[in-house]
Amino acid sequence: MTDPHADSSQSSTAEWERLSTLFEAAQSLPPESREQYLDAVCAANPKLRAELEALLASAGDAPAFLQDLAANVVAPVFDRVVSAEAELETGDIVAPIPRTGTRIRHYDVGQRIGGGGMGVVYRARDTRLDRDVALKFLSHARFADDAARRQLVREAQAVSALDDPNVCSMYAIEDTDDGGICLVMAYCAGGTLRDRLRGSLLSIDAAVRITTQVASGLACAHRSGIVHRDLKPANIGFADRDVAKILDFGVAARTIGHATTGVPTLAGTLPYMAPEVLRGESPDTRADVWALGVMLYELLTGRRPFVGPTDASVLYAILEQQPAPLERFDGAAIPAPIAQLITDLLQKAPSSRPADGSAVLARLEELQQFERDIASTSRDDEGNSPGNSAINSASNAVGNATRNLAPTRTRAWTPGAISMAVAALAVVTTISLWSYSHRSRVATVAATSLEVARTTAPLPTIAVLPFAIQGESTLNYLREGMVDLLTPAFDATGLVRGVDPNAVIGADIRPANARAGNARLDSTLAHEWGARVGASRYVVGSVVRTGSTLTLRATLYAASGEERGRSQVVIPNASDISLGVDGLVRQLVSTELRAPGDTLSALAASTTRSSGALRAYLDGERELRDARPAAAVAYFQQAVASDSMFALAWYRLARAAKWSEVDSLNRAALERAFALAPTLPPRLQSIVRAYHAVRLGSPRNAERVLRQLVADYPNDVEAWMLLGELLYETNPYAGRSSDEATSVFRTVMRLDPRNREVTVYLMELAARADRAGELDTLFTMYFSPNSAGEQPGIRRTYLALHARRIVNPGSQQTTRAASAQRADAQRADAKRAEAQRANAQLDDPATALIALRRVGADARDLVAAKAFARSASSPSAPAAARLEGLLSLASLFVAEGQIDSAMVAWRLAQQRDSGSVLVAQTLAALAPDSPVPQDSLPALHQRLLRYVASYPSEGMPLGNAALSLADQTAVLHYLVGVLSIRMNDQGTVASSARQLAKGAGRSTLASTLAQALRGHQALAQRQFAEASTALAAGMVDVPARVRMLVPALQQQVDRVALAEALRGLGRNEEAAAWRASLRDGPAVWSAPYLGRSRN
Amino acid sequence: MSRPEEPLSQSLVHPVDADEPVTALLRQWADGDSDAGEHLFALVYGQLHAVAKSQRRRWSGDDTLDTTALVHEVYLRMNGASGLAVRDRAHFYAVAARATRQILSNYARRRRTQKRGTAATAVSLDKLDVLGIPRVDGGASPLDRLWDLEVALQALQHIHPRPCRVVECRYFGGLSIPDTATALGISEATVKRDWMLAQAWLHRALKEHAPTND
Repeated sequence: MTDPHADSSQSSTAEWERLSTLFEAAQSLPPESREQYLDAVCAANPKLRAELEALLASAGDAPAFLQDLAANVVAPVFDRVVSAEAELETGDIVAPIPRTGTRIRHYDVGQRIGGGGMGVVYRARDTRLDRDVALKFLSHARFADDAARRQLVREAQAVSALDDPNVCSMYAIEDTDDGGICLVMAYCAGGTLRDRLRGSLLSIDAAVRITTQVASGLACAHRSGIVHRDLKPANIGFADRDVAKILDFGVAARTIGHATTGVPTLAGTLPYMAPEVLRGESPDTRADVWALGVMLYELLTGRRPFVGPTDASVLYAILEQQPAPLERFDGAAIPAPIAQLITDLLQKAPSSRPADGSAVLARLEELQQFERDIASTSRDDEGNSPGNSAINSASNAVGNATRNLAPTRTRAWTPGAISMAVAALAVVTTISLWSYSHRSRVATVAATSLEVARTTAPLPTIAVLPFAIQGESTLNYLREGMVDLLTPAFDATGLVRGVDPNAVIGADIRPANARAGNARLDSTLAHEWGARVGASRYVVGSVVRTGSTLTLRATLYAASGEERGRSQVVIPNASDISLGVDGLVRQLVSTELRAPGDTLSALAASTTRSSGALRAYLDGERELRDARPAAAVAYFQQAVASDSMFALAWYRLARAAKWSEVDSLNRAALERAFALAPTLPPRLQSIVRAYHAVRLGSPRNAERVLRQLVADYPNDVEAWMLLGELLYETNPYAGRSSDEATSVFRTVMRLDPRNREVTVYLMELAARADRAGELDTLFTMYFSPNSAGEQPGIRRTYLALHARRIVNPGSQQTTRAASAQRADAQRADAKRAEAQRANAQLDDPATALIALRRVGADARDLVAAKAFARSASSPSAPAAARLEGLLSLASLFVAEGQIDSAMVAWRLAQQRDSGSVLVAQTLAALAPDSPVPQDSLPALHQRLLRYVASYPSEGMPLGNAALSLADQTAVLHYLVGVLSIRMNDQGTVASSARQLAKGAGRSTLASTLAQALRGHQALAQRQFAEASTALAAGMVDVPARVRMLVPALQQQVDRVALAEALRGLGRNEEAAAWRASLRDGPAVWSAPYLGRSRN
Repeated sequence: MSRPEEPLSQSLVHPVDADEPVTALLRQWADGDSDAGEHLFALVYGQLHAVAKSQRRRWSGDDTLDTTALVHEVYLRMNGASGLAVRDRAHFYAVAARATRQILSNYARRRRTQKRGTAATAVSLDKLDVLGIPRVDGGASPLDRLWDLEVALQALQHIHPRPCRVVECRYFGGLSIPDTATALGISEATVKRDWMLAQAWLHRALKEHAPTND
């Protein structure tokens, strides 16, 4: 390109320095003195002076000008670069090495026509054969990458083995002059299927025809043992108008039998990825079959079957939901055999799908054969024209034949399944309905009119008209009483503004009252009244009494008279009327808003009278939604400051405090919420009591309560969430799998796709189970720069722990190649790097602690854990963090067998809390294959005995003072007992057992731990049955809060012993489950018990 | 246990984690290994794309993607929570800023090439407008303005490479003046001077050279 400034300046660096010095000096002068200054300094150099003057003239506006450019050009274009890329699905849109106009061998390179996952594709002219071809080059970022080059060659080999009209032909591999390679392929003049979809909806015939061709190509690939893995409309090209060809085998894999070879890496494009791929299993031909199903669905309807507002909701839709109903915008009916085929292609279990491309092709051909048969008969009959109607009439005519096609699988599209799918769609299309307080976020889907009104104008108004009272004249006060009750209740939702109709039509109501008696309000009159009140909605309802039971019914109308929703609540007697009102309001508002599930916000309104408190409460909920628990804590504190009886706000304060890891606040707020629970409606009472049980009481009770709640209220997000957390925290102590928690959390996600706390849990579970695809999706969603807020600690935790697990096919290979190439240099560099990185640890001990507590049992995690522990234990850290850091570090060293290092950490920790160190050392000594030398056990035993004897008068209280003295004593006696069994000191064992029995009155832990001790004794005597019963009995009853406080209460010793007892009984599977439970959950303290596989 | 023990105090201070190519590359680059620099650039460039793409994969909100946030995301992804030493971090951000500029200019160049191309590709340019880049007053599209900026930057780079780097760091990477100074190994005062003059210089250049319409 030409340089427009080449003549204006030939400045050297020195000249720039001079220019900038003069410029700075001149700028610092008042404008009137500049002239003089320039005269003085540029006397001999008019050119310099001219330049300086021009620059000074530009200087004033320059920052504003550049800022404007940044805001209006740079940022939007960058945004578009990225989104256009996503939109066009062309992968690497940037071609840093422009090839257009160059000549490679005998090819004249023309326009760039697209890019795949790793390459850039140009149209070119083959001058020898005089035909158009497509050339695929490696993209710039991959150019120097050997792995990428090998992959390109592999692609060429894979495709050249295929000979099918519906697979894009591979002609050759050519070397380029710059040392790269390119693939020479057939040119698809007709664009891609994605292009066609961007136009209008395809006809049903065309959709089936194209799918059949793709299936044919796919069948050929599958026969040759190749799985495409990234089938989607953007990867289907058209050689001419009619022949579809599969393109881009860039991520294809070879198969042996069903399974693909090599390490499963995540490849593909989310909406087309099969459930098993997302679960991280090795994809086989049936993953392509699934993608074909998604494509066929999309071709027919213009929509994808699994959609959602976020990647995560798409992911869970794919994993767990039925496809959205198969409907075309043009209203044309989709023939049943095709619908059936889609159902079969989109079976969640690969084994239920057609096995490969050939099987799908057979189905499609069968289908078209029917079409032809019927079309010819109908032409005979009435000279019908072929086209859309052909298959339609075919399907109607061959209804019976259809069933023959797939006799066993007609069930999936029953009305039930469809209504489920409709419900799923409703969830999906209501992105931010409840997030009305998201001031910054704009709803991106078609919104209901009420919602539009909410975001663009003052709140819509709602008028409650007098209710009809049936069956009991003593209830007549409710006729207008319901108006008085419902109006403020609607108001309090913050979603609509209640208008009192009495102010406007009161004069008419009373006579009408007398006239109409207790009859139901006439709909014409209701409409008229509604219009006169001027509200945008009105409500008509009735109260019916049967025995003592009241049935409240209400119908919501738009001002136009159109019905918008109905609700019905049954209450046991009239004194529960406020409950009923609450229910009616919630149902009506949520019908209209199609709320994703019951959320607490709706209930909050009815439980406080202070509008300030309610406002603060709702702000707190918003902050929680945006994953800013610390800010939420502040708002909830504000709410309870305004209304100290606001039980729900106390409860949410407790929850937010837990999420921001403020344990003491969690406990205080929870106690308060628990005390105030009787002021709440029954369902909220159950929630608060269940949470109290989870944190402070018996998890078993909590589970019972919560299971009942979710059975009664299947859409109760909060109850599901609590249940998930409970299972998440306690399952390791119940010998149950963490999958239970996963499925509960997914339910939460489905009910409330924007719930961010649940994302955190799901991320953690996905990370533990190595479900890379799920983890990546959740991670991206949670930390997207577009997301409203985030918690830096959590973010860094996840980056530190999980970023390396996320399989990012675009970059990982590059990284790997780089690390391989640089490995040697790195080792040489290690010492230097080590020294320099000392300053570069996690700089914040609090963050390090958060990370430390979330570390999993994976070896990579344990390596990271050491870094976190070091940060937490830095001398500048708060004392408690330092203690936890040092003890963690010691535990990790023990796990690695480095007992000397562990000793140093313990010594440092001892200055702060000798008791906790003793406990930690005992735990280390009790671990299987403990590196603690056996000959040091007697000394440890002696020290522990001395400590217990002097406790608590001389010893400091153990670690966290939040554990009661009685509980602490119980823990110590239990440890003494277990260690004494190991030392075969029967006398001490007996006395420990006595002490625990004595403490049972004052400590809830004592009896649980006494059970465990009995179990250990039985095990030592090889009485396996007794041991297993005793050990399993108390395990789950330790409250979660307490468990966090003392590492010993994570009961590693007990779980290992229980596994041993079960093995002794031959119950090997259960034994394995208990052993595996040590890998579930935070792993720092379990690490020594995991068994050493290190060298 | 089989490993020779190092004193704990030392192992507390010097954690070992060998899984970090970025640091090594940065250091080799700082030591004058230009291959390492190129390699790092390719890595960051790829990551920037991958991250931006995954952020935007579909269904994202309507908010504009913040380039600075994106660069930061790439930083976190590539360096984990352990982070880098101050100097390395600044270098890293400087590389990312360059990559951002590169992505933008490549895009602008390609689009303009298409514009000059056949009618068929002109359609895709129209599509660009459909995608939401408004034409501004005077008929200069953001794409034109971006290209003009790039041309001016190249001119600046040609005659005065250092201030151009300063602009890259400050403008495309959002680096502070001290960070820019660290990244480029020059004093803060120099950064300030360069930044002031370069802004004026660019403004003048872009004023003089109204949108090119070739």
